[in-house]
Amino acid sequence: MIKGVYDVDCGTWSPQGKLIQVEYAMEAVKQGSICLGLKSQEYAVLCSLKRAPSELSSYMDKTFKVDDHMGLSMAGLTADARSLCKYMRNECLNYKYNYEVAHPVERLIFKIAEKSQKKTQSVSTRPYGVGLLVIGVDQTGTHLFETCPSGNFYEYNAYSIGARSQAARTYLENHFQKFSKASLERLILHGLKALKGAVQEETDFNTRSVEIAFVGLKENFTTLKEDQVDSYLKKLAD
Amino acid sequence: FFFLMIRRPPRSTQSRSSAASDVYKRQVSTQSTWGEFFLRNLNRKGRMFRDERRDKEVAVEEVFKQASLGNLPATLAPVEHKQFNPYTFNAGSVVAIAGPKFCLVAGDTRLSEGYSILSRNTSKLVPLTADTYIATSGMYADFIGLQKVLKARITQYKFNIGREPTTESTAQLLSHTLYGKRFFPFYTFNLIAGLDENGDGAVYGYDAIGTINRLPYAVQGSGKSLILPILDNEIQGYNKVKHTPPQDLNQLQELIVDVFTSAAERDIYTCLLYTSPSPRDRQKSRMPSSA
Repeated sequence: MIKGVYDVDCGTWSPQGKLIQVEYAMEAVKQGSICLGLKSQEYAVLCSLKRAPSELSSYMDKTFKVDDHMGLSMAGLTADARSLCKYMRNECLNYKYNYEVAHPVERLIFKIAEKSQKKTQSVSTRPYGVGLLVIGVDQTGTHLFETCPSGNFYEYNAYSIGARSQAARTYLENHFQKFSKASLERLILHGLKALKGAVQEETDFNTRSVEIAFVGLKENFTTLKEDQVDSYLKKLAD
Repeated sequence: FFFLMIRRPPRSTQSRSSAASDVYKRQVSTQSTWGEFFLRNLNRKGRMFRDERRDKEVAVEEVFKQASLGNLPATLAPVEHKQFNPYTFNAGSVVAIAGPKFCLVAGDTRLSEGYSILSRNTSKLVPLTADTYIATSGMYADFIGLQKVLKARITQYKFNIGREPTTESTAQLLSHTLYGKRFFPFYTFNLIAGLDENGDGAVYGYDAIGTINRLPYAVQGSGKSLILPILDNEIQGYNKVKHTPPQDLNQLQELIVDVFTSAAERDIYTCLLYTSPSPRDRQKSRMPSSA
């Protein structure tokens, strides 16, 4: 995949019209462990598969709360995700302080996109090596967004990023018409089924490695606790 | 510039003094003219100076000396404009009482300015965490500003530390937030009421610049001098020959209602605590901190 002399920094175009460094950054996202999101008219859900760096360690969290009405999951460099999350939390606090309402979701995504783009147009810094799936609710309803190291962002009804995400995407493409009016429980089960499709034999798919979070028009962003995850995994098995 | 530093107009607020507002207290001297001022000071030396230059030096020393005592001839002082007063007093009274495994906090709901009522239905109590309330009397605008700053800081704490701050931590946060504006204070007289780490009631009292004291009970606001002596008498048993302390939560709640009723009889800024909403207050206030 090494493209020779054109991949040194973001200040160099390749003859094919690509910024190879940005492409490499997007590769980091593809190598990260899978996370997916889906939404209905009332809820938006995130399901993620956590990785443990070694047998001795705990699984690394991938889901972060940004504000009561918004949260994210990530694939790629966790440290970059934390940095972006800190920025988002700060922006939400400031917005709340000044305007007394929750930060509109797309506006915040736009800020992330702007921040990410700056890093693709400089020789001295590198792009963010993380893709975020952000769920949130605001006056225009429920939202699911994806952000990219390239500075692009997309809104989805359902999507998946990370390792073997194509398998999950296939499930989501086949079933997304059912999501709009689905209950929270059905939505989570759909998410888990999609996630399971992307899991290999030897990967752990249990209470400790699966993360589920949701936000609703009337409910704050919540990450499910272990016992709740457990009950959903049991329902999935049935 | 030295004169300008200590020159202040007479205060026009009707609130009680505190360390923070002492700086506004300096008065203008009654000596009317520069000439009289000079004569008076030269004559005190007991002789007339023939040296013109010397005259001036002595006079100037004297002026500096008088100025440092807070006395300035009126003509020396800048023309007295009506200066913008950034402070006002809006809020009535608040009370908090700590008990074993509980804490009571109460505030009346009247907001006033001068002799007018601005609102009959605005809360002075705001929950900061699951087990801590802040109750404030003083200037309402500063209360809102302070409350917003505290809430933002507590949200940051929750993200960074992973849990809510304890009542003690919140109390400390309030103290240094207030001191951060030592030279242009929040005109707020606060109480923190909550449960400590053992689950017992914790009450903290403050002045406008953040002096913090943990207390068994505390009062702030315009009714403080009316309410506090009653609590001293009823809870601590001060000045009582025979004292039975209040036995339980219900007795203390009744005491608080009574104490506000008494204060409301005499203090225009404090109103009764309603045990159920008055029909007139059915429309909920849209002020940020209303209940």
